[in-house]
Amino acid sequence: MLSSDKAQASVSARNLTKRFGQRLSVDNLNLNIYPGELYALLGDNGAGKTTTISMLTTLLPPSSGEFFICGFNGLTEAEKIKGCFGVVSQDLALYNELTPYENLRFLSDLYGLPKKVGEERIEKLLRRAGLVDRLNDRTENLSGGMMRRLAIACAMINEPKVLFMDEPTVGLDPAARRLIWATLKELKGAGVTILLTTHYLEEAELLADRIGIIRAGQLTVEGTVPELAKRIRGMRGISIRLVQELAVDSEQIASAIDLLRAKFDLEVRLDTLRNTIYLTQLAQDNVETYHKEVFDWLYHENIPFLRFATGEPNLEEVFLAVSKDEVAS
Amino acid sequence: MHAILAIMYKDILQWTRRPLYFGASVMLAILILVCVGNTISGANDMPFGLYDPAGISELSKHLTDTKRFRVRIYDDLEKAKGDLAREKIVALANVSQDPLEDSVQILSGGNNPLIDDQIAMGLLAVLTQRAKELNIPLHSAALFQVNFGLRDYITSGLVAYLCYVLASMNVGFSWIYEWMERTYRQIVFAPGGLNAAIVAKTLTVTLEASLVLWLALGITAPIVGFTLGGNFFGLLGATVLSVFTFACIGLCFACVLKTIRIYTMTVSILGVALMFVSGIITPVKAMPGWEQKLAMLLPMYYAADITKGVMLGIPADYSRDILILISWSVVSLLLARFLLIRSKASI
Repeated sequence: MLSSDKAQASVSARNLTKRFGQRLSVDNLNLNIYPGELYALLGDNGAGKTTTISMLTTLLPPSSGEFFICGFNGLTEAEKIKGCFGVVSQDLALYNELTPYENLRFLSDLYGLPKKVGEERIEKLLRRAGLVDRLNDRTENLSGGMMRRLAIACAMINEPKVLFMDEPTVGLDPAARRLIWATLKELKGAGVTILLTTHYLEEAELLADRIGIIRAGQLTVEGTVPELAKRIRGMRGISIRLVQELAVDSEQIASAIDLLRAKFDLEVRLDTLRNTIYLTQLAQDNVETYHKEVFDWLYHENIPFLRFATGEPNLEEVFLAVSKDEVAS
Repeated sequence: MHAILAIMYKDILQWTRRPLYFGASVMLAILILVCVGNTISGANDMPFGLYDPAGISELSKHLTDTKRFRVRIYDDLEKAKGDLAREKIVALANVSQDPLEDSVQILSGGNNPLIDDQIAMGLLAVLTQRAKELNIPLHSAALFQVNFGLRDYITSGLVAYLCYVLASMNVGFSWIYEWMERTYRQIVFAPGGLNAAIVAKTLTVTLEASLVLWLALGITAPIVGFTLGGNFFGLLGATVLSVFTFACIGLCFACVLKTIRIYTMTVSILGVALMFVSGIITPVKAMPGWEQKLAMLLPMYYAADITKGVMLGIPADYSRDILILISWSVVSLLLARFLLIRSKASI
């Protein structure tokens, strides 16, 4: 985690609030993102992620509160902050009739870059995006992953200090997502401050320095991945995927679980979609005994399973726990 | 300035990549000029029955000369009336066979006032043009000696209407398309991007719509046969100003309506209403009083006045027209800017 006490935040929001009529979309959001940091903002649909980004990028005026980008006040110096940030939205904001080169050329001219500087930057961005051999193809003929990389290149044309990315990998195949992740890591390495909203928890876990979870417009939890894990009660490591023939919500399983509960202080969650039992260990000690007992229980109760997994908590567990108000204060 | 030029260059580049859209725009303008002009400027070769077995009158020659009527001669009056009833002819001239009576009775179906009007207009033309030859005390005169027909008059009004149609269409496909594709945000995120976009887009739309209009006029005028007038630069100026005004107004509508479907529907309906109210077809002075007052409030009335003035050379209050069109443009631009700033995110 970056030093937060001394560095001046690249993005700072103070009591940022947005109301749409009676509906409170963002509620007193306080947020600091420091230079070179990648901050992932997680939340359900409608939690307020996009509204937050819309306010921070001056698209939407806040109902109250204030925010600063690169030290400029977003409310009173909106035009000044515009040169400081780039935006990659979930919609691909590209001109499909134009080529990748023309898309970048347009933005270079829009920002008033000198011709030589613009050409050098376009070349660099096209190379980084892996689009040098497609620079004269029409954008509409590029693959989804290529378009997304071009969108990132477009957002970087003015070499912004801050990059807002609103679900940049949504709808991409795994290979394309990995390429985007590599680009994000490269940008982070180059010192760009990134605010990333995503539904992919794995993505946030992999890329982010810090993670914030927004719920009903409020920043419920904030911290690094290990910090968040510590804050979740009983982050366990056992998931048991049953064979298809045995339903996780069957009577056989219900009675077997009662036996296990009698031995351990357990919290059990049944995932019917994945046909999986998740066991929550409320205390972190005695892990080996606990694992062995659960394993024995499976054989003793004659429960056939496909997968028995233990491990560190992942963000999905964190996210679900937070969504259920299970955060330990 | 660099932002304005960048947006204009990009828009024109995009425009050149949509040849189908360009072709469709030109075709639309040509169709309106040809079809609406033809329809409104009156019928040709209307089948007109003539019962004059003794050949007392020379109506057959005079009616044919107008090209409005195709004369069908009848020897049997009852058969002629039967054809009129069966709508094989639109009217029947029954020339009295009594040399002392010297009268003509015009019979029409009577169930279509517009056809009756056309017949009346045609007959009036025959009578006024041939009054001397026919030795009848009927004369027509005009305060201004003009050298154009109804077709020219209608076409010059249609030019104003086309300024509206093409500007609205281009605003829709330029602005709303940009909003739908979200590319508009790229522009807004650049410093000064919003103001640059407003200026650049209205200028580009004006240029594109004007080019389409001029092309359509250039193709259609020599083929169909209407005058473009002798004031070439006046015509350019009038059309550019009219298109610009409608582009600015269209921008306001786009900001409020936001989706291409609702926008297209609204401007189409509005366009038809404007065409009838603003004196494109029927002169404003021939309309009911309240409509005349309404017409004076609408920009198309002034666009039509100015295009008719430069194309036909008829009296027009140019300074008033220009001032009002510019006022509409400025107010619309300011309103559009206000609306855009207010609803950036939702757009």
